[in-house]
Amino acid sequence: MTGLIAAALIALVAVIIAAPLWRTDLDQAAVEPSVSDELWKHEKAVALLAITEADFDRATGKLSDDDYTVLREDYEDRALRAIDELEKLDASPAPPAEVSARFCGNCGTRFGSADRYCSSCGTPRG
Amino acid sequence: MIAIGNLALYLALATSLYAVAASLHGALARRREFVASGEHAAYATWGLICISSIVMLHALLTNDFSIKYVAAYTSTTLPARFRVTALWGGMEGSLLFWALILTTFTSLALFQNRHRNRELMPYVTATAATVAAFFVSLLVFMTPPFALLSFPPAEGTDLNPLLQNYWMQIHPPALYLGYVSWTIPFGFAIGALATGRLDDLWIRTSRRWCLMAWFFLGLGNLLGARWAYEVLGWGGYWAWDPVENAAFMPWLTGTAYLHSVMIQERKDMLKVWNMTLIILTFALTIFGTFLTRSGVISSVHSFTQSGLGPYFLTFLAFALIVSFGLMALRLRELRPRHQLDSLLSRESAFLFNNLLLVGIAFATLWGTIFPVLSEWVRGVKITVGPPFFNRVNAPLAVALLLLMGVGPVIAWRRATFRNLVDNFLGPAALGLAAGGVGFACGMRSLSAILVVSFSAFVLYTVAAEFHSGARARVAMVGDSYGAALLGLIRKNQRRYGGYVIHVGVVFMFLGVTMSSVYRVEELHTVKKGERFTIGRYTLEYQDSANEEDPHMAQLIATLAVYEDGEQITTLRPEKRFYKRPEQPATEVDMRSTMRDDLYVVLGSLDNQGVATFQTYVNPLVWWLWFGGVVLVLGTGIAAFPSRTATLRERARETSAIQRQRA
Repeated sequence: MTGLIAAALIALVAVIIAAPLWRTDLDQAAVEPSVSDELWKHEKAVALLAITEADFDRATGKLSDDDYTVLREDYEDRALRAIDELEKLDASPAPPAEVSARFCGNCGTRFGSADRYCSSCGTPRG
Repeated sequence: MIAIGNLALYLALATSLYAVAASLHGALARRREFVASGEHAAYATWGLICISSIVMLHALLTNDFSIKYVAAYTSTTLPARFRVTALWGGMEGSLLFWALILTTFTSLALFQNRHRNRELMPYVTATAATVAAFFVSLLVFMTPPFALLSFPPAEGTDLNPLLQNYWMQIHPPALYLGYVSWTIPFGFAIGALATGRLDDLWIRTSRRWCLMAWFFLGLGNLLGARWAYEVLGWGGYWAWDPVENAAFMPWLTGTAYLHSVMIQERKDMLKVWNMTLIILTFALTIFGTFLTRSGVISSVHSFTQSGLGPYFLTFLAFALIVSFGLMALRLRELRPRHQLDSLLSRESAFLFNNLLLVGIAFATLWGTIFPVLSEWVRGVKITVGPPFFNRVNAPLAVALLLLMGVGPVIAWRRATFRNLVDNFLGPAALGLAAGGVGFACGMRSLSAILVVSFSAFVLYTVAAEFHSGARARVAMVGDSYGAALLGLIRKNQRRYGGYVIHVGVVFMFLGVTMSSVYRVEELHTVKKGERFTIGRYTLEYQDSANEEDPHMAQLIATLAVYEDGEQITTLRPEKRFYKRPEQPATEVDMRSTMRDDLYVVLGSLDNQGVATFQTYVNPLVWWLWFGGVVLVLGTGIAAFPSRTATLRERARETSAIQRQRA
């Protein structure tokens, strides 16, 4: 009985670990946002948060008016750039999966299904 | 069953090693199927460790004395709740428990990030699986938990009586949760170094893990202090014991990290420092495990000594070399974008706070390992006791208390004279007044006066932060004061949760200082019916009783406690004699109030009914535990920010900027 349970346990573990190696739908599963998209979203979030905090710090006397102006302009520029980049990404249609390249023509890195640029060298997906 | 438990451990070693290899191969060769397979292997490791743990728990609960571990740490008379506790009562079980928490957290982190941070995750898997492989290999090759006895005894040796205590049921799990959780942020840091994603993505992603690790480590320390206070019977709760220090050091560097990370997020500075802190914190958790288990240093907390020391040290060296090696490769990319503008700024306050915290950690480390170093160098083991730690750390801690008041209200970048006057005049005046009142009331200890003064200073600044924030919000949003106060906390839970934590820490400072400086300790030998006085209390020894069950024999003394001539309570301190293993223990009884604790230990009781009582009055010690409760509350606020409030705020800002652009 113990032998049977042991064999079943070993088989189960082997199946769980090996299953992804035979999956063909991993590339199609859009689980990975493109690196550029993620970066700009992050940049936008950081800039907006910093602006909110700068407003608040000025209101509570922890940031001088001069520093506030410099800081606000800096973060507004960053937020605007991020918004622009995100709009550009939204406007460019994603290449159809069946015709898009699976590997980067420049460095050979494998593309994720949602990648528009190479995550390694930044070359656009051809 | 036992064979399945063993097999699960062997398989867990194989799956964790595979998880390391598959994840690294998948990440380097950009093969997603291997990354996924590595993650599955990490999940499988968790499942296998669960199976092993269930088998062990079953053996403990059913008194399967054929297993050496069960025979060594339980008996048929041990209550069932302590048989569960026995899982972490000895070396093999505690390592298994450690592996269980580690693999559970790894699986949780992987599941949380199954659609996010895909670039970092293979390295997080590989790092956590490497740590898991180390612990599981110890279980497989060095301390097998399912080792069998050739001749199973009819009765087990039983759990150490000192561990048969409520606090011991919750203290080690809390501490382990704290120790182990640091592996996850460390994994993200390694991921950031390996991939070159050195912005604050890894910091934001692992923020809650850090907060959880910091919280449980602090809670574990506090529960350990409470255990020492109630069980060890020496009237105190912290003795700078090596094992206490081992858990305290990563908490200190973790606290430093939680503060300095704010500077990186806001100013893009201190990247190297933050990376160093997270690596050191993880290294100190492994070092702490080494101290507890190696047996190189004797400790009242160490119940799991073994010859595993060299393995822990080797693993520690490996982790440090890999982490700092990766950091050296990325040093150029970790350069800060900004410099420190002024010494009078919030950035500087954070930096000083970090230096003090790391200073205390270093002094504690030095004092802890000094006996080992002195033995290596001079052949004589020289132990440094509490006076060393108190003398070095107390001034640093008092300075830290002051900075807790300065940091939140000083201006960013450069404080102006007006900022200093506006924000510090009130708190400084209250601080001076509080110190003066303390002196007038008879306080003559400089450290006590400083702590009272600085505590008032910090409490004022925290209250002023809430008040000025609410007023600013009334002006900006137009809410009522009450709604503005609530909105303020909801809008920035991290900041205001942090302030609540500061209040908790102030209470703890007051409790620790007053109970250390003004503790009264007396020894009284009395006959039945006689009275003695300590502080404002008079105690009358009324009666004694013997009780016995199969597990232990108890000698119980009954004392009536009077204050101002009126009886306020009855205390029953005990002397216990555990039968298996034969060992005496004391059971303290106390009356705890916000003002002080009356703490009574039954030292001895002879046949003529003459009893000796070691009696203590510990002022304000209640505030130490209450500060812990406030700390829990503050962490709860800081760790679970309201997502909707943040999103609403950001949406408002986005539309404002877009309007401006149009």
